[in-house]
Amino acid sequence: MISGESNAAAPAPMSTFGSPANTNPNKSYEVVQPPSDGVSSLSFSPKANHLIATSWDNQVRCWEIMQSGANFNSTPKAAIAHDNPVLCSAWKDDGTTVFSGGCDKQAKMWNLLSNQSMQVAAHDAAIKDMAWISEMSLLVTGSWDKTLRYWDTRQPNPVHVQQLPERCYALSVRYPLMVVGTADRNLVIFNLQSPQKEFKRIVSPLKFQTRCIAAFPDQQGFLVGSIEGRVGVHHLDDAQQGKNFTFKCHREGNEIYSVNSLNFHPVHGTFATAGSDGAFNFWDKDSKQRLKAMTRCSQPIPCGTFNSDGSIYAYAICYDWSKGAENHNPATAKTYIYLHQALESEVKGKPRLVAQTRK
Amino acid sequence: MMKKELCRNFLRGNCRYGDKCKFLHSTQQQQQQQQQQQPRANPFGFGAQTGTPFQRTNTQQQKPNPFRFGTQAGASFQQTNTQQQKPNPFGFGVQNSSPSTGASNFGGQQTKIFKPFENKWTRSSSAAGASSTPSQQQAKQSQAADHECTDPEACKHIIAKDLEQEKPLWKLTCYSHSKDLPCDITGDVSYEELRAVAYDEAKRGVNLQSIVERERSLLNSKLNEFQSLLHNPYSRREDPGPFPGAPSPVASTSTPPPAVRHPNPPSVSSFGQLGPSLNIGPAAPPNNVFPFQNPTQPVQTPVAIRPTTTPFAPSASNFFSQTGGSPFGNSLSFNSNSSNNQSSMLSSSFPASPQFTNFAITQPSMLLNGPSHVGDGQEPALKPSESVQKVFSGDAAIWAKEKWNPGEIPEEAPPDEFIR
Repeated sequence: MISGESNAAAPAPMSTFGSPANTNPNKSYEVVQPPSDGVSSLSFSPKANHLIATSWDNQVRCWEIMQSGANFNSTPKAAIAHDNPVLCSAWKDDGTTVFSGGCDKQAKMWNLLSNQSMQVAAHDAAIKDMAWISEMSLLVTGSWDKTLRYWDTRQPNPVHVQQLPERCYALSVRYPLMVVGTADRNLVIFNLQSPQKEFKRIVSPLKFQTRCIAAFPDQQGFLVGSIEGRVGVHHLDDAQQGKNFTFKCHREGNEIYSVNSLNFHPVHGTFATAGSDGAFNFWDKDSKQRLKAMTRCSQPIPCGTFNSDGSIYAYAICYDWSKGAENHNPATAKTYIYLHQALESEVKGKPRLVAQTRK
Repeated sequence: MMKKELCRNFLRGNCRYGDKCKFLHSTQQQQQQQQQQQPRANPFGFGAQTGTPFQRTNTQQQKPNPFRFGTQAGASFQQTNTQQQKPNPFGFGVQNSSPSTGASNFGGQQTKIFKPFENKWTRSSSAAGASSTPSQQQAKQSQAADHECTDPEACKHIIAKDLEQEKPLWKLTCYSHSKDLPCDITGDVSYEELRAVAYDEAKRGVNLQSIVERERSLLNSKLNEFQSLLHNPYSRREDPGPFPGAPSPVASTSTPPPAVRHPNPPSVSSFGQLGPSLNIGPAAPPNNVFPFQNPTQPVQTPVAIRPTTTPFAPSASNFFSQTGGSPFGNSLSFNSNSSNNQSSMLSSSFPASPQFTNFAITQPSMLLNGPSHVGDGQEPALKPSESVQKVFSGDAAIWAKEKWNPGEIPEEAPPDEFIR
């Protein structure tokens, strides 16, 4: 358990591998005491600027983030451990409790006020993604055992087990819409008002492996990101199918990187993508523009997230295994978590313009 | 003053800013940059070519990640960095580079009305970049949207194009040559799955060399699959090669796999070696460290996964109430093995409550009332002692159906006789 003292705001990182700009070209604030191995998920509290990171070092860590304008400060608060790498996390809507799950096939519920944790879910294989559905007071977990399970945290047995066509790779909930992406390009859509049956099952509009999913805040559709440097924008309503499109991103010359994270801005309805190329971008799907392209970092970004009011975009820089075990060097591999101040000019939607003036 | 990024408009042939443009306007600069970036051929700075020699220490007990190993000059995953700049890499214009009206695919679009299939922002049009007019793109788009596998040559062409231009860096992937169709190649492996296996093996003391070799052979098998797809685009119907993590404890080598849509492929391809270590399938019952058991349901087919039995919790409010006939009763049948375990726990944890009447129709919560309670008679075989196979006898017709409506899709694997 980490109970660190407050540290002064870290200056530009003193990296020993190349110039500091290499690991932090966007001059983001570096969160102190990052995990010792790769980060698998990042999650901000819905009620405060508390950041959770789950990691391949089996830990779930919590920092308190203070922000004043462009300045940040981070304080490690606490941590819990699993027996195996932790893959996903979710906050309860009241901001007091954190759920985490991973390769130990369990999900834990961690009450931050009491600093107690207990197991609340079990699967037959690793839990890849999860979400807290506040409208139902249930935790839904998706696993590589090809099931979704709904958990009332007071009960040891799942409230419901939903079979999936394949292993769950990603899920996204915007009540009552839930979209689950599985292996082999299945996308299963649920209406959480009747969760025991699939609302729709479709094939991904992308040609390669599904990597991440984000449901629209207005529940009209969802985004799907794949390993082929492409994001699909898909609407559920048959009448809106004409608005579906895909676009390419996170590509560099001939190299096609995967889109690892899709996150909607909580206020503006724009979204961020983060990729294995080490870049993150902000996009507006309604005007079909990229709002801001950030500079590529020297390592992949496996995950990103906005805070509750959209003023901060947190992202992790670490190896994501996109090049296999042989390119993982734990002796030299470093993990960073950065906070980017999300300026309105970067994340606010813009009308499509024919010609633009340069400033 | 070095400008960093190349100007996309200039590469397309028309940049309105000319010399005043804040992006690079020269192909010579491109080569310069290329040379500068050569030492950075591996943009992530890992996989150091001069990595420490292979070490193996297993003394790191306190570290959750016990393996320490150096790297080799890992070549097989890296792509050569050819630095080819595509004229319109995103398929639509970007804010920063202020596209001029003609160059951007959408910049010239004044209309706000979306017509069906007028998607211009997909890959088929973007490769042609500046030269495509909206009408050309529209034609291409409708072709892409309506792809049917009638002509193997056409399919081959698409596959070849994809393998050349759309080849992602991550190779262990499924693939379909058309976005509306199911996968031609199945057997997805995600980054996390590969990593989880590697970590698990390292924990068990497998050395780096073996891990890397296993990953490499997985990669090679997958690359071979893609190659054979290229030569025979319709081979998938015979040989889809399901993912190794399929819940089969038996690591068999390429047995003829079943149809692609089988939710629980009973056989594995040559990736079978990955299967047991991925531990995705029905795991041994976990240690009951926790106050509650982890109830498991026996397999319905020899290799199906075991979902837990799920008596609906009394507190789970009404949103699980039945909305018409669904084949739910099929999925949650008891088995004599676990029923003993179940009944005691159930009786203590889930007392029958009035709320259950909501579920009475086909929900399995009726099972709490005892095996004799059958529900609406859809399936007569919901008794603990019944063989599970019989559950399907009433509803076997569902497996013979060609097309399932939402809500009818059975949750369980089909019984053996339906496996093609």
